[in-house]
Amino acid sequence: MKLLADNISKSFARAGSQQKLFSAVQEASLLLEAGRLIAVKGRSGSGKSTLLNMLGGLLKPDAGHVFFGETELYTLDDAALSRLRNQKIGIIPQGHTALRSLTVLENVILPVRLYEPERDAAKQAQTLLQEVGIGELAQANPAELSGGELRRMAIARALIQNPPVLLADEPTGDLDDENTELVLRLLRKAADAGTAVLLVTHESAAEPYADEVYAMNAGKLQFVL
Amino acid sequence: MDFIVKFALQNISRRPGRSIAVLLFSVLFAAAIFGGTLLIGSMQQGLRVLNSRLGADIVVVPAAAKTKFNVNSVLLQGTPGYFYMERKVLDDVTGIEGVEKVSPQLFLASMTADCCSASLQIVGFDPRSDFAIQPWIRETYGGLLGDGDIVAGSNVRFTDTRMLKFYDVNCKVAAQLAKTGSALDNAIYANEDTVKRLIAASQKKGMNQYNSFDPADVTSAVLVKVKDGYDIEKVAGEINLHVRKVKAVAAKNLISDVASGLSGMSDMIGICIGTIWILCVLIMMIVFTMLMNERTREFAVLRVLGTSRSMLSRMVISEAVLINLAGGAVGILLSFLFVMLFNTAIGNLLKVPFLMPSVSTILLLAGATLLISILAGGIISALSAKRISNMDTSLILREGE
Ligand SMILES: Nc1ncnc2c1ncn2[C@@H]1O[C@H](COP(=O)(O)OP(=O)(O)OP(=O)(O)O)[C@@H](O)[C@H]1O
Ligand SMILES: [Mg+2]
Repeated sequence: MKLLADNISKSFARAGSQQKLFSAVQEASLLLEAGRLIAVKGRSGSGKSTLLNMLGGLLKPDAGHVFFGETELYTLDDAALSRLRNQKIGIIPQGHTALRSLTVLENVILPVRLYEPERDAAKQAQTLLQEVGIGELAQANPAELSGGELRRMAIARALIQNPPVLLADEPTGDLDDENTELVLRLLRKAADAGTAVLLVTHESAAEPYADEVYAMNAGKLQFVL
Repeated sequence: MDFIVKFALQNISRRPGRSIAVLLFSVLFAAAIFGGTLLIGSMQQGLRVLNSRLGADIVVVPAAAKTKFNVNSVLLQGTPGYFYMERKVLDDVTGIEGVEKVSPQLFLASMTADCCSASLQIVGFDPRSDFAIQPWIRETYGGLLGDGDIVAGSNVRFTDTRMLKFYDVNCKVAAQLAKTGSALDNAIYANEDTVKRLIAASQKKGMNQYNSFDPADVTSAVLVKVKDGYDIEKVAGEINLHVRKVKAVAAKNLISDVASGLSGMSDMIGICIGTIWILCVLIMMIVFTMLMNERTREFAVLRVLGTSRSMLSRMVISEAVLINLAGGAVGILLSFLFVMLFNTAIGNLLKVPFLMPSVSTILLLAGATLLISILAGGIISALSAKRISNMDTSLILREGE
């Protein structure tokens, strides 16, 4: 399965200077392929999240196209795009994204419940939590978890549907070295299992785990190695 | 069960503080609508029944009674009281043009003393000429009232032996009338002969203010039915003009005193309901908007995980509808219990006849209230939901990390 960004651009209107559009991403092209982990690094504000959101079907580019396989993402209506995102694209958003009214296990199962409420995914979720090392926290409230544990929960949640594509937005942000290593190893493992992985980060710790590294600089995407 | 509903229930039960806050307003909302409408409805029902129970066009009482007693409160509000005039008034009134039927009534008030079972208004009627009371008695009692038999208003208490004692005269309760919600419920009715005996007994005991007359020579009030085609007010005026020492009042004026008080009251209650409504809707809107804002990140995560806009809207609306359903039911139940438990007290307090509408009317009202509650919750949340689902997910996620 391939996810292809073809010359996508996105500009935002900056408050204050209504006339001038601020260009967050300029004509970026990127190909995610099964089994490969691609890292995009860049400074804060360089446009990494904007790029990732466009790839994940969350933000429509001003120009260019995003293809999931043969499907052009932004020609789909909201219902179809939402369903595709649910089933084919695992997203680990930036920041803390646990639903507080659900337990850790329920958070992980949530994507399954949205479209297949009858399917019992508890075992699978428990296994995933075990794999990311927080199996004993399954019944805990997200509020009781540390930042690293929440991040790992988000990874388990992104993997519950076995998506062919995994998009991780700063999954190691504000984690200590040990946790950073742990999370990166998990992403690598997913790639090795055949997932197309995009990892967005402002740290260079990710480089050894990546098959390709890109740099994002003021909205421009450049190949590094 | 549908996932959306399940998820909504989960969100409600896992965040009890938030849910209870919203619930409280929906309880208040439903209680205001249901309780308020029930209050107004009960007053109208009470008035309707009172109006038909009075059954006369004109009531003639001694002129002195007008100053000594509030005739209105004796006749309609049942404050125990009595006054007498010469019995020949009956013939005088009969002779007035336009009068079709007349019937005398004889009043006596019992006392809270050893000789009497309770302090009640006693009304004696003449079985041959009466047209106002017997139709009502016939609804619950088919037989003829014998000497010493009485018919009790619905509030009158008596024991299994069905005996009540007035001035040491034992009377048998032959029947009990249906509720009117007015003070007529506190009265007892008997034929004139029985009441004459009771008056004589009270005089003998020295417990009657009027000791000098023979009960056979007096009457307390004369009820008049006016012939078709005659103006009731004019006939009342004729009586006042030609019959000495009496006061004739058109019954509809008696009632309208009560009724105008009542319509003022309904207006006030209506305004209260309206105000509470508007306040509740406004507060619910604000609370909802605040809750939704607090939860934008949660909604954005749901979108990221593949929730479509329409699913998200349904989640938000389901939550609101469920809470309003529960709140509406609780509000209806509470206000119903309140009105039911205190309806006598409310009637006394408001000084109006107060009779709860029929069960089917109450059920209908409850259903309508529930529907309005759900609709209000649904519409308010739908507005929030629309705003939320139109928001740019990627934008929300960038905030509040
Ligand atoms: N919805 C938006 N409206 C206006 N400006 C935006 C919007 N989204 C992003 N931007 C701007 O676009 C630029 C790129 O933002 P983006 O979030 O992609 O950066 P980033 O590389 O992910 O930064 P960080 O490492 O801090 O997460 C920033 O300057 C940001 O202010
Ligand atoms: Mg970012």
